[in-house]
This record gives sequence, structure tokens and C-alpha cells, in this order.
Amino acid sequence: MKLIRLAAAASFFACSSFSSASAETELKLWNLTSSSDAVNKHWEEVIATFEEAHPGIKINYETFPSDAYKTGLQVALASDAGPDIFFNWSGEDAAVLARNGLTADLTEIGTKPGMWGEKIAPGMFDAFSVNGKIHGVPTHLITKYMFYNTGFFADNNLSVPTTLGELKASCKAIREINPHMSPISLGNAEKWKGVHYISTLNQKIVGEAQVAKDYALDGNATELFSDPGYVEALQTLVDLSQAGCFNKAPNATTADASRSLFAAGQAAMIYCGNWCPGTFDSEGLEGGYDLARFPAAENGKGNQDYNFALLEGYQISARTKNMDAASTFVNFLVSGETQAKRARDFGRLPVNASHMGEEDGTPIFRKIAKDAGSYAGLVLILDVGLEKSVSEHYLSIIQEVLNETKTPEQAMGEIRARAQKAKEQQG
Amino acid sequence: MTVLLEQESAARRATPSSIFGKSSIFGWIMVLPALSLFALFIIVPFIQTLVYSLYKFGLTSPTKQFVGFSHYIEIVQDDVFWIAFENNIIIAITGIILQIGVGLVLAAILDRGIKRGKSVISAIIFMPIVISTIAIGLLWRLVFDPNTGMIEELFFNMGWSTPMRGWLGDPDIALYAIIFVGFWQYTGFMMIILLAAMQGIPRELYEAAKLDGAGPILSFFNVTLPELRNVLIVCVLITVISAFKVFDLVYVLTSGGPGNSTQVMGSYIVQNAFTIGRMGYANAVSVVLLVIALGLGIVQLRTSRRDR
Repeated sequence: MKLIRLAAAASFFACSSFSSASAETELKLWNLTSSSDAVNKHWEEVIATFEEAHPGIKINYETFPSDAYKTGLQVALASDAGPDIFFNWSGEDAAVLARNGLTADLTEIGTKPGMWGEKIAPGMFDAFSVNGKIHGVPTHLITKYMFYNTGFFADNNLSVPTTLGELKASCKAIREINPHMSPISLGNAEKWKGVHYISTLNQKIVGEAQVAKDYALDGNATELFSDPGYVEALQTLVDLSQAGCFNKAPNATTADASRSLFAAGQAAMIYCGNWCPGTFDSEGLEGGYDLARFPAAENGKGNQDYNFALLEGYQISARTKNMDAASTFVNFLVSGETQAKRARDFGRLPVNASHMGEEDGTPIFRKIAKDAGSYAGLVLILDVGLEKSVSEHYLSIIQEVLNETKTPEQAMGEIRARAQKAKEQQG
Repeated sequence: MTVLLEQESAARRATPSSIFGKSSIFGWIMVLPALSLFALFIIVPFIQTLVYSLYKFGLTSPTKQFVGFSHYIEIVQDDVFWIAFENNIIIAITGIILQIGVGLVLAAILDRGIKRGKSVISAIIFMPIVISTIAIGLLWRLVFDPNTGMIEELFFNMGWSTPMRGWLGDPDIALYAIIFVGFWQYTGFMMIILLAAMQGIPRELYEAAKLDGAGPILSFFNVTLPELRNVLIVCVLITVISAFKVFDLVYVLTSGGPGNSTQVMGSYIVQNAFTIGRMGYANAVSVVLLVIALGLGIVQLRTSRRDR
């Protein structure tokens, strides 16, 4: 999917910003807490710029840590204490709020002159749509790559693995070169790093069509997750672990600690998001890394040119009393200038690249942006797309499989039972 | 005189007219604010939880579907619930042994074994209780880190091996790592309660025991322990109820993992309510938890009444 180019083309038609907000309007904006100074500074500046351009609107910016955010947001939106505008992940997190009538329908307002409908490729709104209505505006794409330590690879004449077989061979080679060097840094204490591996492996091994069907609990309840590829995906993770690929005790290592291990040169590779380079640079690696796509599954049924990616964006509360002001602000977030600034400040892939120059951003950002144009499709992320009672069990069971306290067959047996029950409860 | 007063008081309690009579109106007025608050914050939420446990709904669902007692039937068949329940029991039992047991020994040492620096030592042991549990959880996460943690370094330097899956990543060890952190945090609290009680024991009893030929250990078992009986019951109650209410430490240290091996009822309620979105089921588990806590409270009250 040529996301960036599509976005740039769409933004070509963008006109001046829509603004009909009344004076002295206060908007509550909720976002995730970030430990990155660059992110926090970016938001300070974006809000200041917006308020300067719209003197009648004041933005009250509040942030929350990820887990508290998900919980607090649901409670707040059902009351009058909730935000007017809030960050959300696309997929089930956004859809559940829309289905329960907590988010505003933005379909019509987006079609007005100068609004986001002219700035973003139409297909991108699918990720925030429910029953054909748009309930959120995507602002950026997050994506994941296999980052590797260029110095270590060059010093030891190692080539970057392109298939899972090569990856296992690389792990063994790295362990032989330096037994104290972890080939891959993995921190699955919070359970979501493991699920990113399995999401990617499921797509590559099972195939995107079957995965989409099973994650949607579509079809006969007894046949859900019965493709043997799901077992193979979990077995691949076990095989990587047994080949000595991961650092000690990945289930007891936090995601932060795993990034630090790679940044400190104690791990040769890490499967990490496009938000990771900032940590690598600030913790000592300073550009001594490069990236590659996740290795292909040799006999996988999926399109191997898919890549892990997720759109994130902003939704507007159905209870907001300042719809015009709120939509003006969201529209400001997807303006060419703000999108370019976001990309420059902390390396997010903009949905509107109209103001991005060839030389904008770090070399790694440019590489990701260029590569994003060649994705055949986006890997469906398990805990974003799948019904929560099933995905929560999947998260836990990946830890158990990685610990080898359950076999992949046992694990998928449990997942099938959970999926069947969830399907039956849905009626 | 005391007997007469007690009889009079008992007679008053036994007469219904005295409860609703004119003479007690002033009394009712005086307790009304407290009763209102109790009803508002305890009774109403309890009834609400009970009612909600009979419905199927999500946190943001616009409607609720009546499902009767099906959540309670599901609880009986739910493996994760039983893991959580068992973990709460283990935390309670180990809490009694470690927190109260070690707290008692420390209190005895401070009461009769140490002459100088009692305040400083007490303050150091007591200190963890005043720190936020979340902060303690984050701190111990770093200490337990399998790659860079302090314990890993210590064991490595001593030539000892550490668990391959990590202290918090091994399903057979993680719960005990959490229990250890709880022990570190709460033992000082138990010690202070018991020390205060010990200091209230008349010294004459120890002198009498000494005259009878009892040494420090015999005195401890024959004087100190019997005199501490009521305080020990309170300590046990606090520890057991805390063990069933535990959530934050588990949430920060393991999030109930690996797998569901460290899941406790508190974390399971939160997971069902806010992550999975099964509010009705979470309410049903809360009711079960409440019944257990009430049961334990009643046992404690009866035990202390029997003592009187």
C-alpha cells in the first residue's frame, strides 16, 4: 500500500483550515503519557501554535499511562468529565467506543472544504470506521522492523537474516561469536511484545485472509483458529527461543529494559517500532543501527510483503459541546505543517506527507517512510483486532508457550475453545 | 455495680420500644449522618454490585442483558478464578507466617533484647509501609530484572545460579517473589503493632515468671504470647483481608503473569471489568470476594468475643 504517496496526493487538494469555533472555548485533550522529551515538547509547541492561530480556543492537555488511559477513557466518556478529543488506536479499541455511541460521527464534517477528507487518502479512514461511518481521524502510522546493530554485524561479517531459517542460523552464529550477546532482545513482561511476534508470524504462516476471518470470529465456531499454521507460528517462537535467540528470561524482561539492552549493545537485534530509534539514540547507540523487514516464513501461506503497522489517531467525544472547535483542532493535527513537524520531532509516519521534503527527518525515518510505500498490506494485530476475552487469553498463553509450560498444540486448543465460546456469546 | 450496669444495658438492648421510643430519637439523629454515609458508600454499592452481577454488560454498553446466576455458575467452572483464589490463600497463609511471625520476633527483640537504638531500628524496619505500593513494585521490578537487576548481580558474584525464566517470569517462583516483596513492605507494620502491645504488658508478669524460674524463651511463650492474643487476632485479620484485597503489587510486578500464574482475585476483577469489558462477571467475582472477606470478619469477631 502506497500510504505515504497516497496521503501526499490527497493532501494536494487540501485547502485552508476550517475554523468556525466560537470564542473562549475550552477543549479537553487526552493523550498517552510519554517519557520522551521530544514528544512532550512537540505537544507543547503544537498546542501553542494552535492557540495562537485560534485565539478563541484553549486546549487543556492531559496525559495518562497506557493501561490507566484505556480504563479511564471508557469511564470518563460515559460521564461529563471526559475529554472532547482523545487519542486512540484504530481497530477494536476505537470501534467499541463507536458502537456504544460514545464517539462522534465525523463522516459529514470531514467532507467540508478544507477538512481532513481532503488531506488523507480515503482508505485510511477504514481503520476508524464502524458501519460505514467515520468515528476517528488517523494522524500517523506506527510500524515495526527488525533493528540490528550495524557495528556488530559488520565486525563479524554477519548478514541480515531475510528468512526465519536464516534468523535461527544467525542466532546460533551470534552466540558462538559472543555467548554473552543476546541475538535478539525481547521484553515480554507486559505481554504485548510477544503478541507482536505472533501477529506477524500468524500473517506470514497462516495467511492474511484466514487470519482476518478468524480474528473477526467469522465462520463456523468449531472451525475458528483450526488452521495448523497457528500452532506452527507458536512453535516458531519456541524454536527461536530454543535456538538461543532471546535474552535471558524474556517473560520477566520489560519492553523498556529490552530496548535498553539493544541500545547498550548487549543484544544484536530487536523487533521494535518506529518509535524506538529515539530510545536507541538517547541510550548510547547513536545511529549505530539499521533496520530490515521481519524475516519471511519460507513455506508460509501469507504474503511475505505485508508488514506490521497500525494507524493511530484522534476521536471526538459524542458528548462534546464544542464540536466545531474540536474538529478544528483535529483538522489542525492532520495539516501538512503539523504532520511534517510530528515526523521531524519524533519520527511518526504522517498520514499527510504533503509538507514532507526529501531530506526531512532522520535517515532511519526516511528509510521507514520509503519502505512503507511498498507494503503489500498491513499485518492485523492480534490484540487490536480480536475479541478481548480471546485476545487476553492469547496474550497470556504466549508467555506460557515461551516458558514451555504449555505446548503450542495445548495453547491453540485453549484459544479455539475461547474463540468458540466468544462466538456463541455473540450469538 | 458493674454487673448492675451491664444488666441494665442488656435490658435496654432487648426492648424494641427502647430502640424506637421517644427517648432514643436523639440517638438516631446523632447517628444519622454516619448511617447515611455508611448506606451511601457501603450498602448501596454492595446492592448495586449484587444486582449488576446478574447482568451481562460492558463498561460502556448502553444496555444490560439479564443473565440470572449464570456468572456464578461460570465462576465455579473458571480455571483462572480458582488459580486466583488459590493464590490469595497462599498469600494469606504466607503473610501470617512471615509478616506476623517475623514481626513478632522482631518486636520481641526490640522490646526485651535491644537496649540502644530501638527507635532507629524500628523506623528503618517500618519505613517500607509509608512508601507507595506502586513505587515499591517498580523498584522491585528493577531489583528482580533478569538481565541487569541487583539480585542477578548479587547471585552472579556469589557464584549462585538464578532461575532461567527470571524471578518474575517463572510460574513456580513469581508468586513467591511477590510474597517476598509484600513481606518486606508489611513486616515493619506488624512489628510496630505487636511492639506497642508488648510494651503494654505489665512488667510484674515477667518478674513473676522469672521468680518461677522461666528464662526469656519460656517467658515469651507463657507470658508474652498469651497477653498478645487479641492483638495477634487483629494482625491475622488485617493480613488475611489485605491478602484477599491485594492488587497493586501483583499488577505492577507481573500483571498476573506469566500466563495466569500470579493472578489474584483483585487483578482478575480488574482484567474482566476494564480490559475484557465483562462488567457483570467482574461484579460477580467481586461479590464472591466480598462474601469471603465478610466470612473472615465474622470469624474474627466471634473469636474475639469468645475470648472476652
